[in-house]
Amino acid sequence: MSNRFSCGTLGLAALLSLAGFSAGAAQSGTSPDDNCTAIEGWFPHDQTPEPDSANFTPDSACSFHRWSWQMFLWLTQEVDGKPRFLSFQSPYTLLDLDNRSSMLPRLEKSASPRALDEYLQAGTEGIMIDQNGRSLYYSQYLNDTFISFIQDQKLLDPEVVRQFNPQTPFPVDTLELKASWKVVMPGENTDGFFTMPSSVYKLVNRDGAIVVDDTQPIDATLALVGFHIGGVVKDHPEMIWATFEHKDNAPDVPATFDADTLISDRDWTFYKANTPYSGCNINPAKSVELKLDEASQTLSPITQICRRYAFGNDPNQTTQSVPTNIADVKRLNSSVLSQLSGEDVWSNYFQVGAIWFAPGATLEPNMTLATDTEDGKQLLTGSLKLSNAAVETFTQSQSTMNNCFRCHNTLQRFPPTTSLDPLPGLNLNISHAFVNLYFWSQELAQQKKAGTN
Amino acid sequence: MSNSIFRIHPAINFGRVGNSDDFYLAPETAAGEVLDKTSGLFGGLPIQPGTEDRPIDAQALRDASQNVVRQAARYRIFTYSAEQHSYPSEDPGREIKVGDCIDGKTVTDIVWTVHLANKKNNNFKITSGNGQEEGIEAYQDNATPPLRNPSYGNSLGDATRRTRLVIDAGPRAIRATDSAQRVIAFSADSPCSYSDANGAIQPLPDYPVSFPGDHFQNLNPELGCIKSLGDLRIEAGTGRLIVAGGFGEAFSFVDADGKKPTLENAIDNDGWFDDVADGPVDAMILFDDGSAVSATGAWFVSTDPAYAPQTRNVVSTWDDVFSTWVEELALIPSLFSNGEYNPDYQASFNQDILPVFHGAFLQRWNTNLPAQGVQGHNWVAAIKPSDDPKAKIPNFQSLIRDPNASEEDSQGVKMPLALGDAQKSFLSLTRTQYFLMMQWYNGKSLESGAPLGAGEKLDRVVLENCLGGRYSPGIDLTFIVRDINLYQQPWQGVTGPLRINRKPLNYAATTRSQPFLDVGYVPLRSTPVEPGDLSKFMSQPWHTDYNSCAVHTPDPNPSANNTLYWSWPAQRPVQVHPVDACTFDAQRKAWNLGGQVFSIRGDGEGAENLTHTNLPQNEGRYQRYIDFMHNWHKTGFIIQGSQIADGQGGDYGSDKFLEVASLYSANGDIVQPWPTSVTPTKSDA
Repeated sequence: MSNRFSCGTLGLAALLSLAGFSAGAAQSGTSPDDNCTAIEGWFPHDQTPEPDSANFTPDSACSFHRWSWQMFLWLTQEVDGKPRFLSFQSPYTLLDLDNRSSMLPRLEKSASPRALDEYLQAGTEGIMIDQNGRSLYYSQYLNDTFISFIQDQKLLDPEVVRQFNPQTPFPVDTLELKASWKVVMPGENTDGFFTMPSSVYKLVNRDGAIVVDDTQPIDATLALVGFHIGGVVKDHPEMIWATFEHKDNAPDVPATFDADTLISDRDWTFYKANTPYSGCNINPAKSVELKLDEASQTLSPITQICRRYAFGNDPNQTTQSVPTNIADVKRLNSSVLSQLSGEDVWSNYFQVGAIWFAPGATLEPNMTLATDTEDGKQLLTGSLKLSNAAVETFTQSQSTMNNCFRCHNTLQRFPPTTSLDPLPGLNLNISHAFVNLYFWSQELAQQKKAGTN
Repeated sequence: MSNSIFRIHPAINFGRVGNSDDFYLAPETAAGEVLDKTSGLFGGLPIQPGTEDRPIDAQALRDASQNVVRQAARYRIFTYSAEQHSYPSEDPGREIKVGDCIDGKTVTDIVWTVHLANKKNNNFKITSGNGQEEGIEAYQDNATPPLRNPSYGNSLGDATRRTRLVIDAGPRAIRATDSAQRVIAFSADSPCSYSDANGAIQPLPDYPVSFPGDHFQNLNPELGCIKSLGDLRIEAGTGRLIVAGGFGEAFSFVDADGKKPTLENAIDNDGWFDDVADGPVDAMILFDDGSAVSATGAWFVSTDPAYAPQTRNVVSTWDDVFSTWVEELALIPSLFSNGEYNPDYQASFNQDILPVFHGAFLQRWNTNLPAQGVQGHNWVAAIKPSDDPKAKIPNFQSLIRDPNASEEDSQGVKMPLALGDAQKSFLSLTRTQYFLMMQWYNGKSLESGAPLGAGEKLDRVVLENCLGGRYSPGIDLTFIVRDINLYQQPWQGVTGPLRINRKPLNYAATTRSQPFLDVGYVPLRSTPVEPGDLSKFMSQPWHTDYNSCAVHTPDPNPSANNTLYWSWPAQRPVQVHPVDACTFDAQRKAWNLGGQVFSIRGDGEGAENLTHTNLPQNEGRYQRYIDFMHNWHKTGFIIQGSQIADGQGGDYGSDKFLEVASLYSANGDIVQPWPTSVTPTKSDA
């Protein structure tokens, strides 16, 4: 296990020495950074430059949060009448499909918004049900670097993947994104939300489960409520994982609470006033209580969201091995938001936090990333309890799932059905888009062979 | 004189309590074993009484009054032509019955004797004085945990304690040729008797039978009064013995100072009896020349109901017993000798590997495993003997916890992902299981190993259906199964393996004024085993432990893991799929699986439901132990859908294991997919 640290430590020490920082005071940081504010050149929003991931040279934890904010601003810049990220391709693009089967997400090759069909939260198959009884929907986006890497390395061939060097990481500049969307009801006030006309697939009761019917897209206006960024920067093949939310999503759980604590006395987008903590973040996915009314497309019971860790760290944290960066994130948020125009819809979103590998920790195959430390050394740093309340609603509290790396690890993966082959433990498994592509490509090959596609 | 050797099989068998007088027979197939590849029927199902091996269906779990049917243990006698010096026995043996000819003589009768007792109250606590559950470690260096019921004396040998705190029903004998189809109860009003060395049944009018009501006033009569520990009878037409256990009753009594007991501990509650029991099963075989030969004896244990008989524990009692016998008692020298496993040993895929994978595969029916976990288990369960292990599991060591690497005890991502043994955070395979798995993974395996004879198969199957690995204290038996002092040694020769180191019981010396049973077996000591000595290490009473053991955080929990894991879901289902939640697909003519509820979910809505809690760490149980004492018999059972008639001329399908026969009227708290986590309480603040 110790080799995960030794190689990276040398390289980083040299880098930091050149930069004039000691390793101890650099990436991990020993106290909140009073200067963790926005960079002047980011504004106005329409001129935010793309972050220089290839030359990423962190001088504190704040550097990672800054990269995250700058990336968010760049991705949300309007290009050809829509935010830049909407022009990115979906993982399904890589599979070159025109229509999805019952098992495969639909491909939309055209630039027009495609129907959203993801409604289960990662990891727990949880359905997040908003105050109107509608499911949240999710969409994924990959940048050209990601796409090109997969294509150049021929990683849509499962056999190539199985023989691929497990140590090979994604290249710098790789980006994968995930957005969560709320269905806007007629007459519903969407001031302050980024919205877009789109479509979602109808949910139906089938075979004892609630599934999408990909033959029945429904026109809908969608409002963005959550946004994930995973990106590779220099010396961080594990990616910086950052997440953003709309400011009105849900109330924060106080530092001290119990099951009976009333989390807020006002309504939020995903919270009814005076709901106690015990009523928050309940995932009914396996319960007999989960119901879908197909006609109205409403589900029950409604999910009351409480944001368990306001800025991705535990305010009660007593150990200082990883100083809380809550103050950094709050200061940076305040700085950025104060410099965005009040007319800019993106000024209503904030960074929850970001997480990355601690100095010396090196991405390797078969890492579980189940704990923040390994062999007594810090493995993860930054926002150690980072969840997006509108993307990972149901896994905010569990120490086994309460940050991005708990699931974004490099372990082997078993396939969803026994007719497929498993995925060995690779550094590339850090990306769930890659993992999904590996299995989808096998399913696609089987379907083509069977003549069903 | 006969040259043949006789042994009773299974060496240990289990009755299970129920509040019905009716019974079915303990399973004689192993949970997790596919019995019929066409129908997909799994083993582990109890047997319909009066049949050789017909598995029960959903209707058999409760009687006409909706009471829980008891599980009875069936014993047979096998004959072997020579002493045993290897395992499996070179001679597979054959079952004998009255009328069979052996060594030129005809069997005229078999006289069975069984002696049952409950010594839980005159034993040590499970929890050590330091507040920890230490398992067998608590008995190292001549130490012991504190006594239960200390107000009644400070020594287990104290005559007052042995008289008042032990339920001793005494022995009962019965002939295989008994034509009256009698049922002989282990009750105070049923006379004691035993078979002497000639096979004659001798009455024991002065045996010091002891029941709680003889000594104490029952403070909770609504929970029963414990007037019987069960009963025995002869199986019609076969002469086999059938022993059934108690009725799930409990009896509470004051301490020596007159103080009423509490019921606040999960496993050690002074002042409470239950009606489980255990004891020896003996047989004399009588021949037409007037001779009589004794069979190597067996043991009977009664314990909790089998709420999910077909769900195999990934680590079963068999796995612990087998590992102990392999490593310490030279059961299979070609596998382990001179302190080392043989690196050239060929594992058996069907006997050593597939049971582990099928155990994992079946956990979903008693837990809230998320889809990803279910898929992973489905994957390993589909591995075939002809598959390349490394193609199926690219990295074995990142998947399975190594029991030889203590640092992995606390790693909550490796399999098995359930709570661990005393002083261990997570469950591990036994060292023998792990070694055999690694042999398979490294290409050193056969499809099947040496077959067991029918008698030895029974010995194994019975223990495969019981819980292993996590003995804090467990459900059926506990950590004592890893103590070689529990077993008769040397096993080579007439005795054979897996026999309890029984104390010879001299019934001719009984007097009414003196308790017959003594201190008996103490772990890591060589004292032989008396009636009551196996079950006395279990929870007092069993109900509290059963109720408590839904989900917990690991203990110890060095990484401050707040995630909730299952204790022993194969034996104590936590989250289940009730049959009523299934929906019928008329087009496919098949049943769809529905959602989940907690197995223990009570009656009534919201706060009126006595199982309701706002704390995930307390879900799936009654919030007060006494309420489970009142309602344990309402808990439903999980069996394969093919055994559940759907009322439309078909069944629910062998691809599902569904809860049936629950008498709880509410859905209870919402079941969420794993993982769930602890919610802080005011006392944490």
